[in-house]
Amino acid sequence: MTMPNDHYKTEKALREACLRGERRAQQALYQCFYGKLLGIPMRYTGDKEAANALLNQAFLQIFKSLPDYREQGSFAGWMSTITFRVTMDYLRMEQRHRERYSLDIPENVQAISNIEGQLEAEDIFHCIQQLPDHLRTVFSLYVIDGYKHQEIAAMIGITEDTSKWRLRKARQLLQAALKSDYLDNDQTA
Amino acid sequence: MKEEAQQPWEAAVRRVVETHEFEYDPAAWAGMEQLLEEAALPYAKPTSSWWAQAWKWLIPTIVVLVVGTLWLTNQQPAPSLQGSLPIFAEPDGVEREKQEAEQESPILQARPRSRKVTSVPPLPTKPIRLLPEGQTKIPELLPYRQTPATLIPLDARPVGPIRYDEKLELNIPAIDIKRKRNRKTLFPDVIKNY
Repeated sequence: MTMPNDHYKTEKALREACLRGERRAQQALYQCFYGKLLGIPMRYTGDKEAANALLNQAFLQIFKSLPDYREQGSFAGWMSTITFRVTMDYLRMEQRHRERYSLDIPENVQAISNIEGQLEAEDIFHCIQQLPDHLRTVFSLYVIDGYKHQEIAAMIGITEDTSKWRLRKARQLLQAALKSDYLDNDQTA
Repeated sequence: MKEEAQQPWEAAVRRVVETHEFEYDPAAWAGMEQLLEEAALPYAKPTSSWWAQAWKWLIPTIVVLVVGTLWLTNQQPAPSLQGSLPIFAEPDGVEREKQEAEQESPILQARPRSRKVTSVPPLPTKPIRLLPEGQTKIPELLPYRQTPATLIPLDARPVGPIRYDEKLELNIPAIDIKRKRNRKTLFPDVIKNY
Protein backbone atom coordinates (compact mmCIF):
# COMPACT_ATOMS: atom_id res chain seq x y z
CA MET A 1 0.00 0.00 0.00
CA THR A 2 1.38 3.40 -0.91
CA MET A 3 0.52 6.36 1.21
CA PRO A 4 -0.99 9.06 -0.97
CA ASN A 5 -0.17 11.69 1.60
CA ASP A 6 3.34 12.23 2.89
CA HIS A 7 1.94 13.54 6.14
CA TYR A 8 1.00 10.03 7.24
CA LYS A 9 4.12 7.90 7.11
CA THR A 10 2.57 4.67 8.32
CA GLU A 11 -0.78 2.97 8.19
CA LYS A 12 -1.10 3.32 11.96
CA ALA A 13 -0.53 7.07 11.79
CA LEU A 14 -3.23 7.27 9.16
CA ARG A 15 -5.63 5.28 11.32
CA GLU A 16 -4.97 7.45 14.36
CA ALA A 17 -5.55 10.58 12.33
CA CYS A 18 -8.83 9.11 11.10
CA LEU A 19 -9.79 8.39 14.69
CA ARG A 20 -9.23 12.05 15.50
CA GLY A 21 -11.64 12.87 12.69
CA GLU A 22 -9.12 14.49 10.36
CA ARG A 23 -10.82 14.81 7.03
CA ARG A 24 -7.52 14.78 5.15
CA ALA A 25 -6.63 11.45 6.72
CA GLN A 26 -10.04 10.03 5.90
CA GLN A 27 -9.59 11.05 2.31
CA ALA A 28 -6.12 9.49 2.24
CA LEU A 29 -7.49 6.21 3.60
CA TYR A 30 -10.32 6.28 1.11
CA GLN A 31 -7.92 6.94 -1.73
CA CYS A 32 -5.60 4.14 -0.58
CA PHE A 33 -8.19 1.40 -0.43
CA TYR A 34 -10.73 2.57 -3.00
CA GLY A 35 -9.34 0.52 -5.89
CA LYS A 36 -8.89 -2.60 -3.83
CA LEU A 37 -12.28 -2.57 -2.09
CA LEU A 38 -14.40 -1.47 -5.04
CA GLY A 39 -14.03 -4.95 -6.53
CA ILE A 40 -16.22 -6.43 -3.79
CA PRO A 41 -19.40 -4.45 -4.50
CA MET A 42 -18.57 -4.43 -8.22
CA ARG A 43 -18.95 -8.21 -8.52
CA TYR A 44 -22.23 -8.21 -6.61
CA THR A 45 -24.01 -5.24 -8.16
CA GLY A 46 -25.09 -4.53 -11.67
CA ASP A 47 -23.37 -1.20 -12.22
CA LYS A 48 -20.52 0.97 -11.04
CA GLU A 49 -22.71 3.68 -9.51
CA ALA A 50 -24.43 1.21 -7.22
CA ALA A 51 -21.04 -0.27 -6.36
CA ASN A 52 -19.68 3.18 -5.53
CA ALA A 53 -22.65 3.92 -3.29
CA LEU A 54 -22.16 0.61 -1.51
CA LEU A 55 -18.46 1.24 -1.09
CA ASN A 56 -19.20 4.63 0.47
CA GLN A 57 -21.59 2.96 2.90
CA ALA A 58 -18.87 0.44 3.70
CA PHE A 59 -16.30 3.20 4.29
CA LEU A 60 -18.74 4.98 6.58
CA GLN A 61 -19.05 1.77 8.55
CA ILE A 62 -15.26 1.46 8.57
CA PHE A 63 -14.84 4.96 10.01
CA LYS A 64 -17.49 4.21 12.60
CA SER A 65 -15.88 0.92 13.61
CA LEU A 66 -12.32 2.19 13.55
CA PRO A 67 -12.12 2.53 17.37
CA ASP A 68 -12.92 -1.20 17.61
CA TYR A 69 -10.04 -2.29 15.38
CA ARG A 70 -7.59 -4.25 17.56
CA GLU A 71 -4.70 -4.61 15.12
CA GLN A 72 -5.23 -8.36 14.84
CA GLY A 73 -4.81 -9.42 11.24
CA SER A 74 -4.28 -7.07 8.36
CA PHE A 75 -6.10 -3.77 8.23
CA ALA A 76 -6.96 -4.33 4.58
CA GLY A 77 -8.54 -7.69 5.45
CA TRP A 78 -10.58 -6.08 8.21
CA MET A 79 -11.80 -3.46 5.77
CA SER A 80 -12.62 -6.09 3.15
CA THR A 81 -14.71 -8.00 5.70
CA ILE A 82 -16.72 -4.88 6.52
CA THR A 83 -17.21 -4.09 2.83
CA PHE A 84 -18.35 -7.64 2.17
CA ARG A 85 -20.82 -7.55 5.06
CA VAL A 86 -22.27 -4.23 3.93
CA THR A 87 -22.63 -5.64 0.41
CA MET A 88 -24.34 -8.78 1.69
CA ASP A 89 -26.76 -6.74 3.79
CA TYR A 90 -27.63 -4.75 0.70
CA LEU A 91 -28.12 -7.93 -1.33
CA ARG A 92 -30.39 -9.47 1.28
CA MET A 93 -32.48 -6.35 1.30
CA GLU A 94 -32.59 -6.18 -2.47
CA GLN A 95 -33.37 -9.85 -2.91
CA ARG A 96 -36.70 -9.62 -1.15
CA HIS A 97 -37.74 -6.88 -3.50
CA ARG A 98 -36.25 -8.49 -6.58
CA GLU A 99 -37.72 -11.95 -6.18
CA ARG A 100 -41.15 -10.47 -5.81
CA TYR A 101 -41.04 -9.19 -9.35
CA SER A 102 -38.89 -11.18 -11.69
CA LEU A 103 -36.36 -13.92 -11.96
CA ASP A 104 -35.90 -13.65 -15.68
CA ILE A 105 -32.88 -15.31 -17.12
CA PRO A 106 -31.54 -13.93 -20.38
CA GLU A 107 -30.81 -16.23 -23.25
CA ASN A 108 -27.21 -15.16 -23.37
CA VAL A 109 -24.77 -12.56 -22.14
CA GLN A 110 -22.92 -10.36 -24.55
CA ALA A 111 -19.78 -12.18 -25.59
CA ILE A 112 -16.41 -10.58 -25.24
CA SER A 113 -13.43 -11.40 -27.37
CA ASN A 114 -9.98 -10.10 -27.04
CA ILE A 115 -7.48 -9.86 -29.80
CA GLU A 116 -4.54 -10.47 -27.61
CA GLY A 117 -6.08 -13.54 -26.00
CA GLN A 118 -5.99 -12.03 -22.49
CA LEU A 119 -9.19 -10.70 -21.06
CA GLU A 120 -8.94 -7.54 -19.09
CA ALA A 121 -10.34 -7.42 -15.59
CA GLU A 122 -12.74 -4.67 -16.65
CA ASP A 123 -14.21 -7.04 -19.25
CA ILE A 124 -14.64 -9.83 -16.75
CA PHE A 125 -16.36 -7.46 -14.37
CA HIS A 126 -18.53 -6.32 -17.22
CA CYS A 127 -19.53 -9.90 -17.98
CA ILE A 128 -20.26 -10.66 -14.34
CA GLN A 129 -22.33 -7.51 -14.03
CA GLN A 130 -24.37 -8.53 -17.04
CA LEU A 131 -25.58 -11.63 -15.23
CA PRO A 132 -28.98 -11.41 -13.52
CA ASP A 133 -28.64 -10.35 -9.90
CA HIS A 134 -29.64 -13.67 -8.35
CA LEU A 135 -27.23 -15.61 -10.55
CA ARG A 136 -24.39 -13.15 -10.11
CA THR A 137 -24.65 -13.31 -6.33
CA VAL A 138 -24.37 -17.07 -6.20
CA PHE A 139 -21.59 -17.15 -8.79
CA SER A 140 -19.51 -14.53 -6.94
CA LEU A 141 -20.04 -16.14 -3.58
CA TYR A 142 -19.13 -19.59 -4.84
CA VAL A 143 -16.44 -18.98 -7.43
CA ILE A 144 -14.72 -15.82 -6.20
CA ASP A 145 -15.29 -15.76 -2.46
CA GLY A 146 -15.18 -19.54 -2.10
CA TYR A 147 -18.30 -20.16 -0.07
CA LYS A 148 -20.08 -23.52 -0.12
CA HIS A 149 -23.66 -24.00 -1.28
CA GLN A 150 -24.81 -24.61 2.27
CA GLU A 151 -23.28 -21.34 3.41
CA ILE A 152 -24.64 -19.45 0.42
CA ALA A 153 -28.11 -20.82 1.09
CA ALA A 154 -27.96 -19.62 4.67
CA MET A 155 -26.52 -16.26 3.70
CA ILE A 156 -29.06 -15.21 1.13
CA GLY A 157 -32.03 -17.20 2.33
CA ILE A 158 -32.44 -19.79 -0.42
CA THR A 159 -32.27 -23.57 -0.50
CA GLU A 160 -29.09 -25.44 -1.29
CA ASP A 161 -30.60 -26.83 -4.49
CA THR A 162 -31.57 -23.36 -5.64
CA SER A 163 -28.00 -22.23 -5.05
CA LYS A 164 -26.67 -25.13 -7.15
CA TRP A 165 -29.13 -24.44 -9.90
CA ARG A 166 -28.24 -20.75 -9.98
CA LEU A 167 -24.53 -21.52 -10.14
CA ARG A 168 -25.05 -23.89 -13.04
CA LYS A 169 -27.04 -21.28 -14.92
CA ALA A 170 -24.54 -18.52 -14.18
CA ARG A 171 -21.67 -20.70 -15.38
CA GLN A 172 -23.43 -21.43 -18.65
CA LEU A 173 -24.09 -17.77 -19.31
CA LEU A 174 -20.67 -16.56 -18.29
CA GLN A 175 -18.85 -19.27 -20.16
CA ALA A 176 -20.77 -18.38 -23.27
CA ALA A 177 -19.91 -14.73 -22.77
CA LEU A 178 -16.25 -15.45 -22.26
CA LYS A 179 -16.11 -17.95 -25.12
CA SER A 180 -13.55 -16.03 -26.94
CA ASP A 181 -9.95 -16.27 -27.84
CA TYR A 182 -9.14 -16.14 -24.16
CA LEU A 183 -10.90 -19.37 -23.22
CA ASP A 184 -9.88 -21.10 -26.43
CA ASN A 185 -6.28 -20.17 -25.92
CA ASP A 186 -6.44 -21.15 -22.29
CA GLN A 187 -7.71 -24.60 -23.15
CA THR A 188 -5.21 -25.19 -25.90
CA ALA A 189 -2.31 -23.92 -23.81
CA MET B 1 -19.66 -33.22 -7.43
CA LYS B 2 -17.93 -32.86 -10.74
CA GLU B 3 -20.01 -29.96 -11.86
CA GLU B 4 -19.35 -28.01 -8.72
CA ALA B 5 -15.59 -28.29 -8.99
CA GLN B 6 -13.84 -25.15 -10.12
CA GLN B 7 -13.07 -25.12 -13.77
CA PRO B 8 -9.81 -23.66 -15.12
CA TRP B 9 -11.46 -20.60 -16.59
CA GLU B 10 -13.17 -19.95 -13.25
CA ALA B 11 -9.85 -19.98 -11.45
CA ALA B 12 -8.53 -17.48 -13.97
CA VAL B 13 -11.58 -15.28 -13.49
CA ARG B 14 -11.16 -15.49 -9.75
CA ARG B 15 -7.48 -14.56 -9.94
CA VAL B 16 -8.19 -11.57 -12.16
CA VAL B 17 -11.11 -10.32 -10.07
CA GLU B 18 -9.25 -10.66 -6.77
CA THR B 19 -6.06 -8.99 -7.86
CA HIS B 20 -7.55 -6.20 -9.89
CA GLU B 21 -7.43 -2.70 -8.44
CA PHE B 22 -9.72 -0.06 -9.83
CA GLU B 23 -8.45 3.42 -10.52
CA TYR B 24 -9.26 6.03 -7.96
CA ASP B 25 -12.21 8.20 -8.91
CA PRO B 26 -11.95 11.65 -7.30
CA ALA B 27 -15.67 12.18 -7.86
CA ALA B 28 -16.43 9.28 -5.53
CA TRP B 29 -14.85 11.12 -2.60
CA ALA B 30 -17.44 13.93 -2.92
CA GLY B 31 -20.20 11.44 -2.17
CA MET B 32 -18.21 9.99 0.67
CA GLU B 33 -17.56 13.41 2.16
CA GLN B 34 -21.25 14.20 2.02
CA LEU B 35 -22.00 10.93 3.83
CA LEU B 36 -19.46 11.80 6.50
CA GLU B 37 -20.98 15.24 6.94
CA GLU B 38 -24.45 13.76 7.37
CA ALA B 39 -23.30 11.04 9.72
CA ALA B 40 -21.40 13.43 12.04
CA LEU B 41 -19.35 10.68 13.65
CA PRO B 42 -18.30 11.11 17.27
CA TYR B 43 -14.53 11.30 17.07
CA ALA B 44 -12.22 10.48 19.89
CA LYS B 45 -10.36 13.41 21.40
CA PRO B 46 -6.58 13.25 21.17
CA THR B 47 -5.23 11.27 24.06
CA SER B 48 -2.80 13.20 26.23
CA SER B 49 -0.03 11.92 28.47
CA TRP B 50 -0.55 10.76 32.06
CA TRP B 51 0.71 13.96 33.63
CA ALA B 52 -1.78 15.98 31.61
CA GLN B 53 -4.53 13.69 32.85
CA ALA B 54 -3.25 14.10 36.42
CA TRP B 55 -3.12 17.88 36.16
CA LYS B 56 -6.70 17.87 34.97
CA TRP B 57 -7.74 16.60 38.42
CA LEU B 58 -4.92 18.06 40.49
CA ILE B 59 -5.47 21.73 39.63
CA PRO B 60 -9.16 21.87 40.68
CA THR B 61 -8.33 19.94 43.85
CA ILE B 62 -5.58 22.41 44.79
CA VAL B 63 -7.85 25.37 44.04
CA VAL B 64 -10.61 23.96 46.25
CA LEU B 65 -8.18 23.28 49.11
CA VAL B 66 -6.62 26.76 48.98
CA VAL B 67 -9.97 28.55 48.82
CA GLY B 68 -11.32 26.41 51.66
CA THR B 69 -8.30 27.10 53.88
CA LEU B 70 -8.47 30.85 53.24
CA TRP B 71 -12.15 30.92 54.02
CA LEU B 72 -11.67 29.04 57.26
CA THR B 73 -8.79 31.24 58.46
CA ASN B 74 -10.44 34.56 57.58
CA GLN B 75 -13.75 33.66 59.13
CA GLN B 76 -15.06 36.29 61.73
CA PRO B 77 -15.26 34.97 65.34
CA ALA B 78 -18.76 34.28 66.57
CA PRO B 79 -20.27 37.16 68.69
CA SER B 80 -19.71 36.57 72.40
CA LEU B 81 -22.71 35.93 74.56
CA GLN B 82 -20.92 37.23 77.61
CA GLY B 83 -23.07 39.82 79.44
CA SER B 84 -26.32 38.59 78.03
CA LEU B 85 -26.35 35.42 80.10
CA PRO B 86 -26.82 35.27 83.87
CA ILE B 87 -23.58 35.21 85.85
CA PHE B 88 -23.20 33.24 88.97
CA ALA B 89 -21.95 35.41 91.84
CA GLU B 90 -19.17 34.30 94.06
CA PRO B 91 -20.73 33.10 97.31
CA ASP B 92 -19.82 35.20 100.35
CA GLY B 93 -18.96 33.80 103.78
CA VAL B 94 -22.46 32.93 105.04
CA GLU B 95 -23.51 31.58 101.67
CA ARG B 96 -20.41 29.44 101.51
CA GLU B 97 -21.21 27.92 104.85
CA LYS B 98 -24.76 27.18 103.69
CA GLN B 99 -23.49 25.53 100.55
CA GLU B 100 -21.06 23.43 102.50
CA ALA B 101 -23.85 22.34 104.83
CA GLU B 102 -25.99 21.47 101.81
CA GLN B 103 -23.22 19.40 100.37
CA GLU B 104 -22.96 17.45 103.60
CA SER B 105 -26.69 16.75 104.11
CA PRO B 106 -28.21 14.47 101.43
CA ILE B 107 -31.76 15.87 101.95
CA LEU B 108 -30.65 19.36 101.16
CA GLN B 109 -28.67 18.11 98.21
CA ALA B 110 -31.81 16.74 96.60
CA ARG B 111 -33.47 20.18 96.85
CA PRO B 112 -33.10 22.33 93.78
CA ARG B 113 -30.52 24.95 94.40
CA SER B 114 -31.34 28.58 94.16
CA ARG B 115 -29.20 30.69 91.97
CA LYS B 116 -28.38 34.23 92.61
CA VAL B 117 -28.68 36.32 89.53
CA THR B 118 -26.67 39.43 89.85
CA SER B 119 -27.46 41.23 86.64
CA VAL B 120 -30.24 40.82 84.13
CA PRO B 121 -29.95 42.73 80.93
CA PRO B 122 -32.67 45.31 80.61
CA LEU B 123 -35.41 44.75 78.10
CA PRO B 124 -35.56 47.20 75.21
CA THR B 125 -37.65 50.19 76.35
CA LYS B 126 -39.46 50.87 73.16
CA PRO B 127 -42.88 52.41 73.72
CA ILE B 128 -45.73 50.25 72.57
CA ARG B 129 -48.14 52.24 70.46
CA LEU B 130 -51.75 51.14 70.80
CA LEU B 131 -53.43 54.08 69.04
CA PRO B 132 -52.73 55.22 65.49
CA GLU B 133 -50.15 57.97 65.14
CA GLY B 134 -51.47 61.46 65.97
CA GLN B 135 -54.45 60.19 67.94
CA THR B 136 -54.27 60.74 71.66
CA LYS B 137 -57.88 60.44 72.74
CA ILE B 138 -59.28 57.00 73.32
CA PRO B 139 -62.49 56.65 71.27
CA GLU B 140 -65.71 55.86 73.06
CA LEU B 141 -66.73 52.30 73.01
CA LEU B 142 -69.73 51.36 70.93
CA PRO B 143 -72.79 50.17 72.86
CA TYR B 144 -73.14 46.46 73.11
CA ARG B 145 -75.29 44.97 70.45
CA GLN B 146 -78.50 43.56 71.83
CA THR B 147 -79.29 40.09 70.88
CA PRO B 148 -82.76 39.61 69.31
CA ALA B 149 -85.45 37.87 71.33
CA THR B 150 -85.69 34.22 70.52
CA LEU B 151 -88.99 32.82 69.19
CA ILE B 152 -90.31 29.81 71.01
CA PRO B 153 -92.01 27.43 68.55
CA LEU B 154 -95.57 26.46 69.38
CA ASP B 155 -96.63 22.90 69.86
CA ALA B 156 -98.01 21.18 66.80
CA ARG B 157 -101.79 20.79 66.63
CA PRO B 158 -102.80 17.14 67.07
CA VAL B 159 -104.30 15.64 63.96
CA GLY B 160 -107.52 13.58 64.48
CA PRO B 161 -108.30 10.31 62.81
CA ILE B 162 -109.36 10.51 59.18
CA ARG B 163 -112.90 9.40 58.62
CA TYR B 164 -114.17 8.18 55.31
CA ASP B 165 -117.73 8.32 54.09
CA GLU B 166 -118.88 4.79 54.16
CA LYS B 167 -121.79 5.53 51.75
CA LEU B 168 -119.54 6.94 49.13
CA GLU B 169 -119.63 4.81 46.03
CA LEU B 170 -117.90 5.19 42.77
CA ASN B 171 -120.26 5.62 39.87
CA ILE B 172 -118.28 4.00 37.20
CA PRO B 173 -120.39 3.44 34.12
CA ALA B 174 -120.45 0.00 32.80
CA ILE B 175 -118.39 -0.26 29.72
CA ASP B 176 -120.56 -2.20 27.42
CA ILE B 177 -120.61 0.28 24.62
CA LYS B 178 -118.49 -0.42 21.67
CA ARG B 179 -115.93 2.26 21.54
CA LYS B 180 -116.07 4.38 18.51
CA ARG B 181 -112.88 5.79 17.32
CA ASN B 182 -114.00 7.69 14.35
CA ARG B 183 -113.53 11.41 13.92
CA LYS B 184 -117.17 12.21 14.62
CA THR B 185 -117.13 10.73 18.08
CA LEU B 186 -113.65 11.91 18.99
CA PHE B 187 -114.03 15.50 17.83
CA PRO B 188 -117.75 16.24 17.65
CA ASP B 189 -117.33 20.02 18.07
CA VAL B 190 -114.90 20.28 15.26
CA ILE B 191 -117.08 18.24 12.99
CA LYS B 192 -120.11 20.27 13.96
CA ASN B 193 -118.42 23.59 13.28
CA TYR B 194 -117.07 22.29 10.07
